[in-house]
Amino acid sequence: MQENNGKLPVRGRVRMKPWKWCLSAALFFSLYPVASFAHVSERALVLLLPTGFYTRFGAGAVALTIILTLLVPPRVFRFLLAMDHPVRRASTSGVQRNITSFAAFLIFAFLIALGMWGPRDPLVNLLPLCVFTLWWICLPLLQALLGDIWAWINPWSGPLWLVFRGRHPFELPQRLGHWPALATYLLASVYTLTDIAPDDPTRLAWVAGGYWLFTFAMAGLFGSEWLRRGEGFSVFFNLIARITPLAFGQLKLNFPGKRIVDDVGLGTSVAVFSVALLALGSFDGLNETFWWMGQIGINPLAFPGRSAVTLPNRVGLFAAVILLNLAFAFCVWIGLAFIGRSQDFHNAFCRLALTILPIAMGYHLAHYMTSAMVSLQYLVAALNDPLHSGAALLGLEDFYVTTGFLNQHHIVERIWFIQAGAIVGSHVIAVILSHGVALQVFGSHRAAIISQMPVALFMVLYTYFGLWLLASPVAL
Amino acid sequence: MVSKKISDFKPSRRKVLTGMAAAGATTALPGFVPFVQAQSSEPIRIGFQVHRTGIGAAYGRWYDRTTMAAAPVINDMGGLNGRPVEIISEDDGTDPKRGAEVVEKFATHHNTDIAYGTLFSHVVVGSAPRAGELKMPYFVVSEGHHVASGMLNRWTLQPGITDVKSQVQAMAPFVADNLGKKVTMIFPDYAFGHDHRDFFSAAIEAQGGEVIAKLAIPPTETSFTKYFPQIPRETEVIYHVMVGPAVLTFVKEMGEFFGSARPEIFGFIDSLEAVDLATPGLEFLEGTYFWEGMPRYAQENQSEYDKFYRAAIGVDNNGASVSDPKDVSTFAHMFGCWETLHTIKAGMEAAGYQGTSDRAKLVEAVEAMTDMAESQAHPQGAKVFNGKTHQVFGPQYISQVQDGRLVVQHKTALEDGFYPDEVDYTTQSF
Repeated sequence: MQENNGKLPVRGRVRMKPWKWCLSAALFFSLYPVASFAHVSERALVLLLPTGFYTRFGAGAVALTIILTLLVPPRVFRFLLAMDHPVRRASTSGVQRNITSFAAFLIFAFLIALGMWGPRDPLVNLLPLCVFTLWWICLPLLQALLGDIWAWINPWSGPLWLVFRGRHPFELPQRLGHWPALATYLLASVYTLTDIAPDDPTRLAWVAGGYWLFTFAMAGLFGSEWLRRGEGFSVFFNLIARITPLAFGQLKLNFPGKRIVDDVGLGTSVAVFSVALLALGSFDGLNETFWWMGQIGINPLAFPGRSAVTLPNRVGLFAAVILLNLAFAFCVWIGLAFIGRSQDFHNAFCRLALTILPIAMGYHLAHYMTSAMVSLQYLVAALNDPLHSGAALLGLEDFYVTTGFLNQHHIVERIWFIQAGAIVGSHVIAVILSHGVALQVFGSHRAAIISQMPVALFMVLYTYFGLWLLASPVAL
Repeated sequence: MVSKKISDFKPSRRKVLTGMAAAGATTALPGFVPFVQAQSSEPIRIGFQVHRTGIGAAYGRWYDRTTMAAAPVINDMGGLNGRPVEIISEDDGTDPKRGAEVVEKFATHHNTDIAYGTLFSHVVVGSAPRAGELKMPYFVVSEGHHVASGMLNRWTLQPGITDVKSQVQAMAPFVADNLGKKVTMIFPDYAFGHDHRDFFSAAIEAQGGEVIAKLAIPPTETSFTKYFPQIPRETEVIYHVMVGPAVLTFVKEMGEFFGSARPEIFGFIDSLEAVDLATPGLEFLEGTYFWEGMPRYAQENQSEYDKFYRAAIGVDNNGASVSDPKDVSTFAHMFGCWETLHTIKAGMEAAGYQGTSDRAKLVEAVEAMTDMAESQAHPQGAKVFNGKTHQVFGPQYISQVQDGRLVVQHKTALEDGFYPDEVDYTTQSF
């Protein structure tokens, strides 16, 4: 007997959109008596914070920065962003790097083996923990702080050097630009954001191992150029390394991302790739919000699982990449139209898009911070006992992972401030960089200011969006 | 019963992991034969379908911790029918499609003897048909009424935790007798809230009370001030079951609305499971009442079984982790894992379970169970298992918030949660 006496629960006031045909499974699972365990996460405490005020304050800080760019003489920016040192470009040809890369490959192979034959629990197995916590979350942040670490620890250049010795039968056509890298990066994002079990150790071992083989084969055919223009993560890490404040070879700090100001000739594909990074990071946060759940007709308190949202999330992911690129391009174009220099659109878009990179990293830090604080504990536990055999290699006998800090108002508040600071700070950096680029492209202070107005508005609105995202209730 | 003294017990995650190796090693020693009666020293493999990721991850962490604590205790008791237990965890992502895949992996890849441990209702409903097709005993710890409602199959059982229909029904006598007969219900406007509305409305009417207003709150709502004026002035009791990230806002705004002149308030701890009651904004809950599946805070009359259970899983007298007093457990629910594993042990022993060919015997043996005494195996309290509906019935606890702690005011009788059978699974063939 169903106790609802035929009064089957309805979706109530959650708006249904055309997605509903693909949500029939989710609806089916709502038609029976259930217990509910929608949990109280740290977002419950965030909802008690005056985030509306903070959000306006944060967006105001970015707006203030923009106003300052009007008042500060161009020579200050030229001094701040001037290239005064030789840049050591990432290279994958050095012997030392090949050796460290080969060591990274051996570690990678060990992790793949663990994924295949190790513990089944994704929070116990080192493969998903290393891939998603160390590599996906932590390494980009280190790369942004310290520079091109990836050139030393990518798992391909060492084995490639050992096997092919630099020989390759084909050249990667120049006309392909970096589009293959965008394609591989998007495919990887589809897997991590929309697969129903991306953390599953065996599944991940096949996917990661398969991707390694694919890349190895492509680099065998096209040489290391594939790593520079075809392999999405190498391109990603290489771009992110450009915002490091460290000046190689000198004991000084630079303005973060100043290399970007002088980066010319990277092409449309790199520009689109840069904006796509921000779009993907933004959508990764957006797709968990009550707002997004409302758009796709999902009750966030009874989230039916990834399998019920695979299609809308895939559509949303690609839509975010396309729409954000179009929006940013439109801002650039209309700014040029203001000063009658539409003919410079390609050059301006390609250079200004790179100034998005610090924002992408700001979102990265903000989005992953709390999950990293938990998953790094699981990583320690897994390193302590990699085979889940009861070992205590680090001497930790009874190590309990805790989320207690997310239960405490003052800690959650501090975490939120750090996250918000990352978003606001990265936008401020981006505003300064884009103004520096505009000064280079257009020569005059006046032309730079006028042309930058739409982009500046974009930055303020995106700050507002980012802080709204941080303060929104989420389903997961 | 376990002969080991509570004072001797040193909880250790490693025990469950080293148990297997230790069993193999020590059986080679003369005079030490802990699993001697078994025809095989092969482990009994329990496939643990755990919510490691997805919306159930917060609960999954504690279900995992309880399971990993119960397994070595069972091994110390001689294992399952004389064989050591091995837990094989698979993350279901709190997703029904993935859940069905995981059950299949247990059967075809890991060759587990049973599947166990699922919490979220939609995953249970998505996985149970596959368990039935694979003829895999599927022990869920879900609290949902889907098992006893008859919508699943003979291979699916819920012997370690009571269902929500029984829980809600058992609250009505206490509410009517002690808090008031005119009730306003505030619930989220979807299946979970509707179940509470329907179950409790019927139960309170049976007690001579009535629900005078039903405030259905849209699931995406994050501010509740506009709903409170709809609460009738003659309301004697507010029954609330709000869940999700807006719960703290709900409590705060309710406190701001009522001030000190509030009616009696009764809620389900599901709203604040794993939440520290000392969280700012929750002061308003002082003096209000909650249903608890098992008392989070150790009570004055704490049983030795409760003590042992807490020590085994590493939870202190406030229901928080021994390693972090702010890491509050899902204490009202996770006992179900502990008790289910002990029931599986009892079932395998009753069935003389030797291997996967005895799976049907195991189901029949559990179906034949009735009384379960309060014990180390059942620290939440004595229970009765209904073999026809595959659902266990047990006591419920009603606690009042006093000085920021939940103090038990009433423990319901088993009969308070009984309702007529809605299915007889024993008539279904295997």
